[in-house]
Amino acid sequence: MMGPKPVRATAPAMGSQSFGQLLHRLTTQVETTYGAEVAANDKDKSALQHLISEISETVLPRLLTIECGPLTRLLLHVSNRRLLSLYVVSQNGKTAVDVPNDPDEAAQIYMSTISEIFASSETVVFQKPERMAHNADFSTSCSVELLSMIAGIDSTQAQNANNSTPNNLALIKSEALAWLQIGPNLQELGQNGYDEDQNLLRQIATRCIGDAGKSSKHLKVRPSREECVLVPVRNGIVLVIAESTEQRLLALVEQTKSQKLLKQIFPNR
Amino acid sequence: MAIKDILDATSNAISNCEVAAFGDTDTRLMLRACHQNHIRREHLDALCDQAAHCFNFIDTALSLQSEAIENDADFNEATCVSADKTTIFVRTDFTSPDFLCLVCTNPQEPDALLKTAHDALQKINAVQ
Repeated sequence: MMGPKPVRATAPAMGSQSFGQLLHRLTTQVETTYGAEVAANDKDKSALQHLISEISETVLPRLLTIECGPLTRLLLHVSNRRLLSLYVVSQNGKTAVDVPNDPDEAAQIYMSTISEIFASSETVVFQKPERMAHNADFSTSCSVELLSMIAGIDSTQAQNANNSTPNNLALIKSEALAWLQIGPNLQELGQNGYDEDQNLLRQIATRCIGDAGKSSKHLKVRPSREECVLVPVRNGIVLVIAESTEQRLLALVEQTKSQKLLKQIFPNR
Repeated sequence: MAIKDILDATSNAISNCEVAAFGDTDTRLMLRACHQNHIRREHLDALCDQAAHCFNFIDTALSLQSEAIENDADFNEATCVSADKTTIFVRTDFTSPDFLCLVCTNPQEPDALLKTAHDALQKINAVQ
């Protein structure tokens, strides 16, 4: 005889905050780190967007673990780009989030539960997903499209999020002698080195991209989202070109540091 | 030895080589290519464009500097790195539009690939 399964019978209380308010808080306040080995925080990227991204990229059955602060952990069973079930592990033990049979309602409950926990956590850390057996006992499953619609996230953008981390751009900028970041309608210039580095970068960008460095659409060397392009531009200095979903970055980096950067950006290489 | 034979040999010498191609940055054409079946012409064209732009970045940067730069091999190379792919472009010298491109699907050390690519390009130049 099977023991009683601890389940939460209803959706968790949302307090006085609406789902929309929670989403707003998530995109503005939650400090999110991705993987224990990634030290830099990324305040600009929504933890929810990464969650959608993880689900979107998962075809084989996997267990996704998310550490929410020191005391709470979310366990998600994911397969075939669907969320199959959700468990909350806290000091009170492991609790399955119970959902009705209707996928729409189930998705609402899943996302509101996750949103509330993310919003109340100072840090959200995604662990590397683990392979999982097929025969687990699942409740109502929800597609990534449905989950992303409820969360108000474009799942196609989220799909690229892991590869296009602004985290990586921030990392490159922190090591760059000079950098130029180009967004859809803006450009931003910064430096950690000398004025001559910044001047060189500005001139390279102007000549190779045109005055229109104002817009990322004019950047000619467009790495695919997951690539970093490295070209030598001076003795011991390389130009690193990388991009995130909406931003592109040109940075002058010392050649010795560029190798270290690549190892940090692509730790599994 | 024909160019195609050199590309074939280069491709076979590297594990998981997706593309070994010889192209021209002026015409932006891959003149000869040895590649896996799933690679389409558009992909080769895109690689050619990328090579041209990478070398343009290098040439522009060098032209902006007052100090004379020798025709160092470093300035004839460009590397594109991703989590599971390494793409490299090499050319003979600053003035040459000819370049060699290698794309490998498993992570490889760019330095080893660059050496292989330079060797192959040297052989191609010898037969031209």
